[in-house]
Amino acid sequence: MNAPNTRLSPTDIAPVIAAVAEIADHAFGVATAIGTAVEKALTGRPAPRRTDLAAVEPLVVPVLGDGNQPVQGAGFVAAPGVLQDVEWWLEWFARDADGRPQRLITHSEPQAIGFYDYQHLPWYVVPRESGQRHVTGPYVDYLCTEEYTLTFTVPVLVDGRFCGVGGADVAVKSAEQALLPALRASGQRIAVVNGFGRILSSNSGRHLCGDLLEGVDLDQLPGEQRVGDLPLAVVAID
Amino acid sequence: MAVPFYGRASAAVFSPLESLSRSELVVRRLTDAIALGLLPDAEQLPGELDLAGIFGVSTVTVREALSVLRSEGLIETRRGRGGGSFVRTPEDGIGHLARRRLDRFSLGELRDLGDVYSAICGASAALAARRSSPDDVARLQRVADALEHAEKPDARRRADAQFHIEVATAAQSPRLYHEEVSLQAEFGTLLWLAFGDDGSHAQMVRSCRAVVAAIADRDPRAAREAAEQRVADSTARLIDYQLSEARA
Repeated sequence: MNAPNTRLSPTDIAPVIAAVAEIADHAFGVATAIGTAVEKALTGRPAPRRTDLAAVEPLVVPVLGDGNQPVQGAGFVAAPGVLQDVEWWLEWFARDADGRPQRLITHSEPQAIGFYDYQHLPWYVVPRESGQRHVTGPYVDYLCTEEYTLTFTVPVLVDGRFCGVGGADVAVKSAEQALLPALRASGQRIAVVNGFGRILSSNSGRHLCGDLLEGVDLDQLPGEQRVGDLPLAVVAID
Repeated sequence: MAVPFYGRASAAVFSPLESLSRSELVVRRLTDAIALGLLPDAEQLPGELDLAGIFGVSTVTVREALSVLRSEGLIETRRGRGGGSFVRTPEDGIGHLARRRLDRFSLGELRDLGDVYSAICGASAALAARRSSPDDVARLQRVADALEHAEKPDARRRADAQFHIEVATAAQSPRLYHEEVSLQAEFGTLLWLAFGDDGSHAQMVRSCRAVVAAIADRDPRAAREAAEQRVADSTARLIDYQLSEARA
């Protein structure tokens, strides 16, 4: 039986909330730095091109190269039509199998089979529509990591106009490693869930990462169970 | 290196080969990638050293493979600055390549591939019915709409491939997603030979709607059944196609 709206003792869950917040702060820090760099590069340029995004790479590569932090992919995704030399563009970098940062190559030609229309994906749509930062996932990211992933995105506005999103990916596996000590120390069965009630991580074998918990409503939860204004919260299970 | 990630589906193309890796296998892998459209016309291949690294073979093996591809007219090599090997899609399209691959399979082997594909698609659909959030369902519905409205055979095939990918993704399983992608490369490209005309399209749209409806209803059993039926229909069409081609 799920009991997502059961009140939890704040002392029990505070370490879990803190661990989630630490990951989120770090990833949003990377995404925001990218957004700021792109905003600066595009301001006052009526016809920006791919080469104007050159500031992203030197920002991202040192982060990805540091194996002690969880962000494994990051960059800027341009709103269609913003760049003059290509309609769709991801200025994105990710660790390869050997842990080295590499540029992501995707097809930018809409007729190609590998083409990827990101205009309907939540990590792009939510910041565009809400003007706010957003955490997407856990979800299977088939664009870049091909892994179970969390994506942290912030809207990038240039002269008040939406130009794309800055973003950072954290593998669910890395997030779980960071969360497990606090989850295991908890005296109650709890799960970290997103706004849909999808479990990111839990301390119960019966409620696994990716499963949906029924009846989760973040707005009904006490503030101490939520991770700031993000669509993430800690709830009771069983 | 220029091609570490190719976005979705390419993982299967650029993963290491089995232990008996030989130039023949490299040829087959790259031919399949061209047939699948993962390597579109005029796309530049990674350099010999990079290809050797990606496939885990020697540069000599890569050179042999490239020379075979060149003699088959599937790549063109230019020398000098800005040179390298570039993909050349055959003039009669990638269907020709898929037909050539189809001839390597017996009907029993095709049935066997269909069995595996059915297992993967059925399991994905059942899990998707348990785990889809409202935005997953909305995305599936959008892909189903795209499939219904696609008019040209190629657009229909792309939408169908996208639908399979989205179901595996909604299942929240990277492993099922990877299985789906590699089966699409191996088997999906063959199924496309018998898919794209109005009759098969109408059938695929109907079964697609059935899968989405079951996922939206959160009914794993119905979702599995509909997805399995969808693969069974496609496999039967392919086998009928192969039988009629053999007669012709």
